[in-house]
Amino acid sequence: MKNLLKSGVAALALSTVASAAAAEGKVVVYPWFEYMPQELVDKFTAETGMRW
Amino acid sequence: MIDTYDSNEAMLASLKAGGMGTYDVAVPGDYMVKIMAGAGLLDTMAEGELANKGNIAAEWADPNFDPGRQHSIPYQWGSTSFAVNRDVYTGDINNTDILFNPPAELQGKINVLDSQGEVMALAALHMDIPQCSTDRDQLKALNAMLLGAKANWVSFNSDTAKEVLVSGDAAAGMIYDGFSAKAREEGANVEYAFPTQGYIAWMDNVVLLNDAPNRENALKFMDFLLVPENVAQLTNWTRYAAGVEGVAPLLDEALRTLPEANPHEGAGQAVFIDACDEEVQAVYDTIWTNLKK
Repeated sequence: MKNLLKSGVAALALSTVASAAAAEGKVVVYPWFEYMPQELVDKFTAETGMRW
Repeated sequence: MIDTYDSNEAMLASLKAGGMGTYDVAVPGDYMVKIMAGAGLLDTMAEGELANKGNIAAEWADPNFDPGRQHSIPYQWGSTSFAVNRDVYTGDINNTDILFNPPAELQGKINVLDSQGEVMALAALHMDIPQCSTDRDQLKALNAMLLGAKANWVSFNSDTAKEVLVSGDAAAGMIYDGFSAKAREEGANVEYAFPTQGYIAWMDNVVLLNDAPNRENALKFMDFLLVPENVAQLTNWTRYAAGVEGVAPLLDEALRTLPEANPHEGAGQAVFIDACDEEVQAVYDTIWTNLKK
């Protein structure tokens, strides 16, 4: 039950992040090839909820 | 999947050919920021719109290509010259002859960047003529020199510039300093040259495009790219250099002594690419198009 609860909370958290992303929208970036590390893109999304 | 480009000129052409209104930000080099601003492609950021603008390093806060940083923020800076595989050639490499008048060991084994501004500027340094020269004799000589040099080149490519050095498909190649460092770190026995005639210095910048579909978000993204921790993460990955204060203590120890970022004493000057005026640019476009045929 505890585990179930935990995964329920996790799922809720995930859906919150997803809806935050939808609410915050996106930024459309036009960079050189191989010039933006994926980890940095992911960090930006995690901090702002925005997608590329 | 995001769109990318492999040269400043390719990016400009795609934006002019209908790309405006699609993207929020792009990452042009110094001279291209000036050209884009002149062409009316860049939006202006009012004072106070970027919360982290004060983080821009003093030496990059008011560049001649974007006075007052009205349209752009620093992304990364570095240099462009060429790298040589030392298993193939052991002689002196600090001379632009390596690209334009190569020794026998390197003939037919040279990759050149598919990047008009950089090739033209390095060729001008090689010939000791001014960039954007309008002198007919100098232009004729430049054109002839490039066509002659091309006979010794195996490929024109930017996005595989590192891979061809690592694979050995090219024994020498025009390349950016960080890319050359990555080639070396991936096992290629390459040395980055600092030619006595000089080499290219550049700064890439994030610009706010006119008609940006998500202008507010673009500003947040630019602010994100002015936070020292984020810029350090970027710089440790690119192996170039940052234009933001507070980044240095967060960089990999190896970056401090990177051979590709530390010119030797005999190195020529690092020279930024000039933005030619439109009429002159058309002449250089013709030379370039002809060279690429």
